[in-house]
Amino acid sequence: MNHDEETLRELLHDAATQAPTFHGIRAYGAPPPATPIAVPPIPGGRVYAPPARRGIRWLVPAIAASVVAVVGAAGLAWFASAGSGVSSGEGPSMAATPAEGGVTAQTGDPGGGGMMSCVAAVNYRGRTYYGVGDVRRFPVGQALPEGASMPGCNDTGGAPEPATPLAAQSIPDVSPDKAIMTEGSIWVADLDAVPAEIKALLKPFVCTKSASVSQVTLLGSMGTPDSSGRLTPPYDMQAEVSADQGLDIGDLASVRIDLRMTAASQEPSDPMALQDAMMNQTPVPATFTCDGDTFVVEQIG
Amino acid sequence: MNVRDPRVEALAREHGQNLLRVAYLLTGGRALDAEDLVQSVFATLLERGLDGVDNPLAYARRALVNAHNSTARRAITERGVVARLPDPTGRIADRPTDAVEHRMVILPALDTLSADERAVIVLRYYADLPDAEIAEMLGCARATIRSHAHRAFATLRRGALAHLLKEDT
Repeated sequence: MNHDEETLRELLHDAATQAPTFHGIRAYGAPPPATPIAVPPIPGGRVYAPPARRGIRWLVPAIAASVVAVVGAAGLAWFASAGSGVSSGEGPSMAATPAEGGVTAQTGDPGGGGMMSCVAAVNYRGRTYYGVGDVRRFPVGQALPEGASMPGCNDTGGAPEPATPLAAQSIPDVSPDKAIMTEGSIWVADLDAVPAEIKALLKPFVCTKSASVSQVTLLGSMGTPDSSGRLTPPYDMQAEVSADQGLDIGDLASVRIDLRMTAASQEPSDPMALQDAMMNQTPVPATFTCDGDTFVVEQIG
Repeated sequence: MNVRDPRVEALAREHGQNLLRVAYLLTGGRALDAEDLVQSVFATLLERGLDGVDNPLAYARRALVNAHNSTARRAITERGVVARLPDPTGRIADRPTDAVEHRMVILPALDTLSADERAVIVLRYYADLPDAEIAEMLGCARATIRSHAHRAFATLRRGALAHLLKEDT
């Protein structure tokens, strides 16, 4: 567990001590809840259906970056060279799992249990690729032959999870031997020699001119809500905008940008609509202007 | 009227407080919401019983997360009303004392996350559940859990917990 994970864990445990005291079940004699609770089926099936996702374009780079967050580049390099097992605690060791088409996926849990992230890496044609982190610009890739896969994690002591196949793409002007893209995420063969073309994709996409965008997907906020749950400007949000939505992003497929909400920004009439859109990742229209390099919201929702 | 069920009562006795703490974190520290959430889960468990359930705690925890996520939108729109009700503990969330200021920063920070991200953070770092179990609870792939966790960290690092979380991804 790294510093941030340990800090978060301590904060959560401290905060949980502030929870009220449980005084037992109050439901005897009371009517059932007005809103039915979706209890899981018996035994073990799924009732909860998460809201429709926007595909997994955003998913894999996050995983890739989380690898760096958890074990660091040095750990990844060690992992690459060791190829099997991290002797931290009693957690299960990492293992290379052969997959069809000569593609293997490595995974494992450096610490065991649910307190550690699984290390993720993708092998393709005999090479191991690692995530490069916070990609801001997503190019249009060309499909590569099948075979890439997201590794399963074997940290529960049960049967090993199978790897998840991924559709790999090449990155313009970059050899697949050096880097590949999986559904928009970027993986490199050598973290110490990231190609300049890839580094350019990590560069923030800045505001150069005003725009009216038909659909922007809000990914999260960088503000702190007040006690009523409302975000009060000024605060920033991260958002994703695809091509052909009104923002000039050149030849890219999509970009992730930071949006500044100010006191002058026009919000939807429903004060919680923005946070609702953020929670459900529902695209909303928006109009931006520039304050230097910063996207400033004029109107949204 | 609900019929008393010894297994549900045992679950409440042994794990009620823990479930309430999970609910407290899932709701961003809203004590009344958390209590309603837990009581709703127990009410439903009493209605349908625990026959065929091998692990009542895991089952209840899963029901809790399902309930939280499925009612997240309703909760967020009602939040303005709930938040103005008196806190039964007598604390004033807006003005934490120095002693609790540090710990209470996490609660509003959780509000900056999506419902799924919040659930992943709470279940992973408070309940110490493995990703596989969290994935089953949320009905998504294991990789999605890792993604939620990463996204949540990124949001917290850049926002409410920027002064506490320092590591770059």
